[in-house]
Amino acid sequence: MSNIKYDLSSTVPEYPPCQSGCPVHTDVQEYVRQISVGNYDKAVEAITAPNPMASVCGFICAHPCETECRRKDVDEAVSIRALKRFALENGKWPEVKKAEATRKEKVAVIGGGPAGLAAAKDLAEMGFAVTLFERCAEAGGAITNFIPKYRLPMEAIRKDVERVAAIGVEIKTGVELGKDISIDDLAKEYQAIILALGLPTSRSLSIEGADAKDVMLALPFLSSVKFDNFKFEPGRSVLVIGGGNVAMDVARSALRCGAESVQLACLECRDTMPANPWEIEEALDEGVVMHPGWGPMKINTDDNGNITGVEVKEVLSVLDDQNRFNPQYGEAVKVIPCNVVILAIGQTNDDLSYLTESGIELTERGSLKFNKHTMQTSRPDVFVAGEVAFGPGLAVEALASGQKVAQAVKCYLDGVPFDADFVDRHTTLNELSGSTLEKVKRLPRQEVPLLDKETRAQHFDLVEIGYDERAALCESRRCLDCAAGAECIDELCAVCLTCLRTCPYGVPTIDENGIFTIRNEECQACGLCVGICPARAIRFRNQYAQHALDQLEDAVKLAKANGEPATVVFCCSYGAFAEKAFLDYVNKEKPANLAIVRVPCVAKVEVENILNAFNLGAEAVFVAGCQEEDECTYHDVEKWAAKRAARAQEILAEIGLEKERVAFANLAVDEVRNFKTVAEDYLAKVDAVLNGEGGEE
Amino acid sequence: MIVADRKPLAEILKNIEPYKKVLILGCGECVTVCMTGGDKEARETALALSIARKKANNPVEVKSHTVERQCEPEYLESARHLVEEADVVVSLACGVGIQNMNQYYADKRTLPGVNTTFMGMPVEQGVWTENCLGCGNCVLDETMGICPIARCSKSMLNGPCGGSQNGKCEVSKDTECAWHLIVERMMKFNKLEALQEVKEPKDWSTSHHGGPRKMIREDVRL
Amino acid sequence: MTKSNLQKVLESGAFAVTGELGPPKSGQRDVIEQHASHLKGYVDSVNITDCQTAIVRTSSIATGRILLDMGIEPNIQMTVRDRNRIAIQADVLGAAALGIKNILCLQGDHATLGNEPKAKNVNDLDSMNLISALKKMRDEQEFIGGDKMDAPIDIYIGAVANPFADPFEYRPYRLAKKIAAGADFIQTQVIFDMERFERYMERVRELGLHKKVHIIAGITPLKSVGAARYMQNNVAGMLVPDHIIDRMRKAKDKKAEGVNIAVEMIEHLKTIEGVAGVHIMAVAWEEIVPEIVTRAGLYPRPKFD
Repeated sequence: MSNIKYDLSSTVPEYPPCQSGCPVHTDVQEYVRQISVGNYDKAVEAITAPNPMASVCGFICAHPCETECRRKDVDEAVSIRALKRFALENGKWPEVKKAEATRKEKVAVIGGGPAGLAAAKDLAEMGFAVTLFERCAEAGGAITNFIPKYRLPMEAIRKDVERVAAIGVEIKTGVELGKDISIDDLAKEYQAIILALGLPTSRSLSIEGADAKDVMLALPFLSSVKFDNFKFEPGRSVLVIGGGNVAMDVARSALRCGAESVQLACLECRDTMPANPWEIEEALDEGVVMHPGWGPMKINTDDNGNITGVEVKEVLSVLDDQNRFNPQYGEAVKVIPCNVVILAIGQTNDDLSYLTESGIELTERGSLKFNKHTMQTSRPDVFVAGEVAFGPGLAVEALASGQKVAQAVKCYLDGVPFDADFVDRHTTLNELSGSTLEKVKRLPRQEVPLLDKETRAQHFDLVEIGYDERAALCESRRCLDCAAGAECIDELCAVCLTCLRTCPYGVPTIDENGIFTIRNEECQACGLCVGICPARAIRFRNQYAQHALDQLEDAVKLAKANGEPATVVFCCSYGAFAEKAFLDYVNKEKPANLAIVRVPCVAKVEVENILNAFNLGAEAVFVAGCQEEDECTYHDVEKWAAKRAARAQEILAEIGLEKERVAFANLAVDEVRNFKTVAEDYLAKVDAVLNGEGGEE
Repeated sequence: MIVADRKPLAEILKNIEPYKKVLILGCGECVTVCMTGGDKEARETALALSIARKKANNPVEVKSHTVERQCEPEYLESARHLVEEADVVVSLACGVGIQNMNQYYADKRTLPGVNTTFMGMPVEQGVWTENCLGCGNCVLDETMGICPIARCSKSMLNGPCGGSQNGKCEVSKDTECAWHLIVERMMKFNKLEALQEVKEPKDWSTSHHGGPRKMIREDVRL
Repeated sequence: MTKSNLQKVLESGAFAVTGELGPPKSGQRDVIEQHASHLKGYVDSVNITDCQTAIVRTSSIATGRILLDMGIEPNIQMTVRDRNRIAIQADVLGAAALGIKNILCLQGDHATLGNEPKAKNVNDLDSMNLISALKKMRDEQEFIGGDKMDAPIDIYIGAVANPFADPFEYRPYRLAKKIAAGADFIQTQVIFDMERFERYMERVRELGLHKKVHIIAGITPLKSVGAARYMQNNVAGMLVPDHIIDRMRKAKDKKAEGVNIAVEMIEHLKTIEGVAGVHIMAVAWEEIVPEIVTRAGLYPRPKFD
């Protein structure tokens, strides 16, 4: 079920910046952290719950979450989108639960793009009977029709669409509103209709020469590339007009269609080009030559009507001081030679004049008139969603729009008022304070591997290779756990200030009024305070750490059932598990009486956990952390983890257990890779002690 | 605050040997802060006792629970069910809490799980030192805020004695000579000549030497 | 009011000599007599320690009476560590009844240092309070609590000074305080670091304290290098300079060298203005005292009626 809710109450959820930035409010932290401890299945659950096009987003989402990510103030944002793809490709997807039809009303959704699919899914889950009408052969909208295959495989789109259908949405393809069906027809059967028609028409340019025969429009070009196997004849030099994402898609597709050269000109200067920066980079890497800051004035043709070039003029500014489109030009002009021009200067809605017959009013410019509070058109039973109403945007924004309109439709059918201002209210965290930022260890962002730029533009294979397990682990641990870390349970807190003195980041503070707080919004979730608090008055807001430690019981049971001595090793998920050799040892070679408990940093292993292992029947415990300097994400872990192990040893010594029973070590990288030897050495020591053969005094 | 030290586990084990169901009761105040008897320590102690008894083939069911303060009867009520089902209670609170438990739950024995030691403070995290003996007649105004009764090994009012060397007490090199500190602080405030006054013998009758003490405030009595 | 021998010697201006005896860990009168016999005639009075270093020994008052029976004047040491003010005042009355006149007031080494480390340290009074109490009992015929005594006592009040304890700058002021409390004579802790003692005495003279109280400087003859080291490391408030330890190390006959050092020190002390006498602590080596006293030119001892 989506996270977009119509809620009139006075308290609103507070989201961390990533979740807030995501239009559908995916619990980003949850899945990033589940990846970091190897729970890919749980990560998939978190990703797919609020997002009906998870697979698609895993490839092409423009990740507004990363723009908001607080890590960007430390070094660089967490590479969330690539992690999402990794999880979806490596974790088990939950079964789709068919929705129960609990309502008698039926809803029609027109348009099978993200807005329509999202609206349809949510309404079906609310119990309505939903039919989605899509005019193309496959649902998916712009995603299906226009996004090139080198960015998004068709299988991904199909997977998402199938899952929506599996919920119980009836998808009818090849049916077009205005041709095959009308609003009035639909109204006979459906109590509410949603228009999620998108912006499927490419804008044209009214300059001289725009009607030349080799002038193409972006969207039909992209569609032709995808479905008609379009290829250029030899000797074509293409100039793409436009600076947005569609322009990038067009340019890069043109390369792959055999164009001899591809250039691009746009009004905006390089820094203000509306396309995603990484798409511009990838296009440049593939050899697209760009002319930012030049506006098209005239398309030159020869006597045979063949294009010879485009005259462009220097652009001084694009928007005026009221942010309206009002390009100002300079004096310089040049001609960019080319013989094909593809216009990628924006998308607009199709001709919607047929809707007026059914009482749906349009604006002067031919777009849908609608009430932005109720999301209704001038016909109360017809609603709007997505780009057709709200203008060009991201796929994920269209999903959110669809989820919002589902709320609107439900209220309408329930007979209660609806105001879009009360949907999706939330607050978000402030920026991390400077003093905390300084203390966070810098960890470089894992580059997402791409195919070699020299050769990848020769075909439509997926450009992004994506993360392997090691890269995903290393990247996921960069998440700062914003407001998901420690919080003080006031009723239990003895205000002893132990956490304040222990925290390496200065998160617990005493303010100028002398009041003690744990500033959860600054916490880095290392876990040191949780383990040292004598009142157990600190808990983590997230659950992944507790889930990790909960494995202990089963791990010990398994070890005990498989030989003596049952030995538990607490291993760091970030350090040890990132090494393939270690993983191989754990998965294939290790003795069955050795239980590995994978924890997100040994800072979270408390004295009680070590004692609990013995109480469950383990004979020895080894706490294995990562070397502080280069490996550990946090500070002071080595010091405290060693002290905790020593304290556990002290307590156990009082009841007659030898000190060899508990060991602590910070493993260097080669020790992790060679963990087999480390583990065998330790097991041998334990054996010796248990058989009374020595051990130290 | 009151500082206490957990009794050696061997001693606790000896005391609970005849029992099959034991409750470890922690306290949320002083003993939490000095890391001896808060919920964390209560759970760890319970685990340690459980492990030891398993090893000795004499398993024990040991539960742990912590109340806000064991010295207030109302707070003990939340533990009633656990106390009643246990054979014996081992309290990790200070001596006051242990006694209150025996009084409140008169039909159940509550044994001490800690040795209550002193009134003191953390001079750094993990290190607590004795500061106050509760003598009932505070002279900190005369000694620049350094207590000669609690912090001088000989409770001198006219110190230092001849055993003060390098600012340390003759009892131990780890113990600061309180009078050395007092003299230094007096020098800092230019009040050294105040030390020339011979202080009269201390009136110990306000301390425990006058008998167990009581304080009454009529204005708040119910 | 009858004065003790020590008081007469000091008030006459003669350089006083006192000795010391540590009672045994038994009730053996003959052992006490045996040790004391070496000192008779060579010293003006003999200190009797009161469970020194918190080790249980025969009480100083009982030992003092035994010495009196031998014709030797005792200075009984009294610590505040083991008795409260009731017992202390009762003991003072007892000492006076037995004819003991010189009482040296001490705080007492902490019980943890001795052979009964689990004992309670009473410390009802401190040593300063004890000095004041003795003065009050002698001059005002009153107990500490204000109750009137049946008769006053004759007590010559002694106290100790440690020029080698810290804070160094404060020690002369502490001496002044003891004088104000009522001390008649002072015995210092064992001196090896003469240079430091000289600095102390300079300060004492500046404050005019040497004129208000009789200061008897303490020395001890070393028997071995180990003894020197032991004192440096283990005895509270003692400083033994390296050059002394060196001399002992290099000497062939350690004992002889120890005696040489002691005699030299006494000769030097005689020259320091404000030093009224020497206190020779030759515990368990009392037989060496006659030689030291003689070689230091302090024999025979002055006699007074």
